[in-house]
Amino acid sequence: MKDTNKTDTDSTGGFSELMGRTAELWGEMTRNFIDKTESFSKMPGNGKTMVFPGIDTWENLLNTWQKSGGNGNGQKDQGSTMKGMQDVSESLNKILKSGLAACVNTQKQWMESAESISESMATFDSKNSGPELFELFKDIYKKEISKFFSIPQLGLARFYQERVIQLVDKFNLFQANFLEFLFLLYIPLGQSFKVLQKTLADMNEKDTLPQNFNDYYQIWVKMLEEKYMELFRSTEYVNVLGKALNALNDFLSARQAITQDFLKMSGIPVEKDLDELYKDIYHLKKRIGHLEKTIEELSPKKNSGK
Amino acid sequence: MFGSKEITENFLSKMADGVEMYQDYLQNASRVMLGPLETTISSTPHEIVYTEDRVKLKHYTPGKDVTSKMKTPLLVTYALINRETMLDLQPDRSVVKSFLKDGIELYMIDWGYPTRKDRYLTIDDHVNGYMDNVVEFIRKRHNVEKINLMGICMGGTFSAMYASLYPEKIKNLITTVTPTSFDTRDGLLHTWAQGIDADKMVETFGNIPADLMNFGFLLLNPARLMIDKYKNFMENMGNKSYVENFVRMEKWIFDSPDVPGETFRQFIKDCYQKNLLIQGKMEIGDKRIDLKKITMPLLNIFSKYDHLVPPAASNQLTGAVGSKDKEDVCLATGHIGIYVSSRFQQEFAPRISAWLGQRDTVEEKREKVVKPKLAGKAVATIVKDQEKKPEIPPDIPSIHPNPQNMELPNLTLKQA
Repeated sequence: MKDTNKTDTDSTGGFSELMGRTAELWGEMTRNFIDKTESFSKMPGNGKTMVFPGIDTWENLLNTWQKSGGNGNGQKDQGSTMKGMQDVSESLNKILKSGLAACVNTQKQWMESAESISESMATFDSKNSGPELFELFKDIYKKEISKFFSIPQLGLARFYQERVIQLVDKFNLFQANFLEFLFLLYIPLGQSFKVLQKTLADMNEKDTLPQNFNDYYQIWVKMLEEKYMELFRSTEYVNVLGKALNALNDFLSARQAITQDFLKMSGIPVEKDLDELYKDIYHLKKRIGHLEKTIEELSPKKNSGK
Repeated sequence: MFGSKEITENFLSKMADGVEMYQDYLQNASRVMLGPLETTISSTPHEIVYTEDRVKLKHYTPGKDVTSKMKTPLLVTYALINRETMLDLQPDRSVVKSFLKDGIELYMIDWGYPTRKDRYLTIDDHVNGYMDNVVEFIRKRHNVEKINLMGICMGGTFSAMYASLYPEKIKNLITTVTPTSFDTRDGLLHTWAQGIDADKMVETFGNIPADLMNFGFLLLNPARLMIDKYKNFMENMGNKSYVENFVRMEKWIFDSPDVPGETFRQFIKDCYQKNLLIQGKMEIGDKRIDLKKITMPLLNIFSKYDHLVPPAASNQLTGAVGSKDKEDVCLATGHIGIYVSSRFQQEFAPRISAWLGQRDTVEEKREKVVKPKLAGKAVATIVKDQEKKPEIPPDIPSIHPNPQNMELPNLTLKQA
């Protein structure tokens, strides 16, 4: 009986011990999580303290659980099972602590990037003209977004994945540069209409308005031509044109790389293969031509003619 | 403040007045556009006498009615951009016809349409290869030591290079709207070329697509070339002759071959970006081009209002060559107007004929070669009415003439 009672008492104490340990584990994890979120919420530039909804409730519940587990833990006997459980819980706690810290740190980095983007946007004056906006976008893209396209790819298909990612990256850059180029082309159009409006107002005041539509058109098209000439001679235009062409080249090369992958899978020769062949043919033809000329010069008929 | 109400009322009033006029216009326009149009270009009969790869040599012979014929044949080298058909655009405005009338035995290089396999062809291949083979062919065919050489635009640059390398084969050199000095900001192409990464473009495209270049040429003056030109066309759609000539010009403008990649690379880098040619530092193959070796008579014609090759780019040649008999002629027109405008039909080709006529003495070769050995094939394909051209996509753009210099019939809607 006694043994039985002891066994019951042991088993009761063991269960209480298990409950207590489990409660301790979750309690520790919760405190870690709260610590991390507090440090996250105190990150530079983040003025507001972030509070995760329901965290207080969860903390209170665990405290109650720990206390209830502690009341039933009258036994001083520390069985080997309990010791094993303690070791496991500590290890598990350590792993989860590290994992949670990494996760929170990553989130912190993302938030920092987002904050950096918002800071960059805050410096942009909405009264500024379009070119600044395009430059700003490209700068943000280069610093904060394009790094995600540089994450190394792994495994058997890594080359293909890299090419697809490259294509997306180059397409984005091409779009940005091409839009900037188109925006520049649009500027003279807008300017010419503004100048036309002013000119017509002046003419109206002097009562010298044109009498037919063609005259209005001639005034406008001449202004448009002048504005385009001003733009085309500017260094800014040459730079934007160069960048747009380079971005187009990069995008087309990235697209070509993917196309070639698909063609290769189908056993179709790609441009690179053909170019190598063409190069060989080109050099062979040159060499044959050179040899033919040399033979002709050395031929007895030619020499006797001389 | 701006009187926009008055402007609008005036505008609407004029529009209302013009409604009746537009009815007539629409009737005429539909009659012309839906009726038969004669829009053939390059219609002067010729023979293809030599072919090598994509390159063909056209031979035009003066008619039997021409009494005074020149003894030395003339070879015309066109640019790699656009086609030589511009010299024979329409029957009444044809440099070819004018030369034939003046008794010139005329040869023209047709560079053809480069394909992907031609991407490795360099300036050296065009000048020391194709051009030299063609010159050899003509020399042997006519049994002469020297021939006359005329270059147009980039073809003029090639001709200057050729004449400096083979002065013993060229009797007289004529360069027209030819860029030889590239260190100028007068022309937009010269400014823009500084921002082009030629290596990257060649790496990406192989040959440089005509569409891309034509887009660039259109951007030289979008107000005129993309708006005003077509506005004028819309106004004159009821005029059959105008429409026919306009369509001929459109056919020529948008008939553009791609440019071989390596040739483009060298032309942009060595000429436009480094300006090596005029400095005597440019090399093609293993040969350095020394313009001082051009010692034959030189006639250099350029256009005052050329938006592609400004005078600053073309008027330096005469000062750089070794010739004693040399002449600059500046015509008050544009890059294309020099060849196709009605006004310059009397000032351009006849002037060249006269200049050549004054220098037309023949030096026969001592040895008569019976069967010339040539890199290409000597052929004789007679093209009587119209050369059978390869299939050309209808909407491929190119060097775009300023419509102001085209001098197409200047018809506008009559005011009501």
